[in-house]
Amino acid sequence: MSKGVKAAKKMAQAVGGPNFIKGLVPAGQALPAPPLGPILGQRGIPIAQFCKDFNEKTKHIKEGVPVPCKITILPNRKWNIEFKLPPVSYFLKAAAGVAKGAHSTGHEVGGIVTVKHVYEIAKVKGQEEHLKHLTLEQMCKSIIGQARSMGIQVVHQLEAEEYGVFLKELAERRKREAEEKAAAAEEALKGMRS
Amino acid sequence: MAAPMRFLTRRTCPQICHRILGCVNVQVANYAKAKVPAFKGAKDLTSEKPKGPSIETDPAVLTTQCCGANIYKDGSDPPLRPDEEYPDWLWKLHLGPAATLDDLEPGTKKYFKRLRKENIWADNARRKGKKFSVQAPPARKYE
Repeated sequence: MSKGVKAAKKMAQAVGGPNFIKGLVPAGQALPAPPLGPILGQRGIPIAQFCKDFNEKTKHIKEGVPVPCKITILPNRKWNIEFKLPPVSYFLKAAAGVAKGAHSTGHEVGGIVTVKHVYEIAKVKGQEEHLKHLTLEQMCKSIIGQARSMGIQVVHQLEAEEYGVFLKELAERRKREAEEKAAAAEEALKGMRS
Repeated sequence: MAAPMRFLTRRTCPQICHRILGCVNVQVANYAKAKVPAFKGAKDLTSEKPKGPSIETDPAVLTTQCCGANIYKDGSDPPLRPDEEYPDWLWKLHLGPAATLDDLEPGTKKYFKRLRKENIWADNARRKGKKFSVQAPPARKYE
């Protein structure tokens, strides 16, 4: 989840359909017109009031943390918000100290965490209503599976030094990739112009 | 009410005109579509939007705490405790890549799950790019 981007992921709901919206909204940062505004507006919810309400309710959470929420639309232009804990992908990226997962999963490693990190994440995330019935072991397995799909490697031990080296190499690789991409875009632009 | 007169112009009957006039390239002023990658403009967008919580970059901190586990403004991230304080099963969890069909014992539940998954992947790959057609789906292989 790119934290710099304000966009909330919304499931497309027909206006006549089930009256709830599920989305991922950064805590304390509900406002932008494009993602939230039109979707709420179409269902008759006063956007500014909603954003104030949402930001009030999420003010105990660190700014910008993506919060999955289910907004049930009640009659009389009212609403009900149910919150959940941030997605596991957020926790994994924060624990690994990376902004995004691997660019090509399976071919590169986008970050490293240890099993201890996974355990701590499982302790936090396992408190969710829909995950309470799972044992910690099952929760850990699920998180490891998610890490695998994000290109984040899970190891038993990780020393600060080696991780420092890995992070530096990762940063350099990202920079190179960005430069190559920019160069390729330049070429494409020239090709189109000529 | 007279039927509207329909003049044969280049716009109304481009097909006919094309054949009569041959290939005539006429400058037409349209609103240009942004087909070119606006990579120069795209970079500016990130500065407008507010950032999320800062990402820890110090490896010493990353390897001693579980950064990000505490999402609330109060309190701090839980520290990583010594190995003995974690349960035994933690160290026995499978961390590597998922087991492939060759590694699994044929006939087990895991084997069939993997087989099913691989069949789905193969089916998806086969169907990719094809338009919808009323064919019977290919028979699943049960080895």
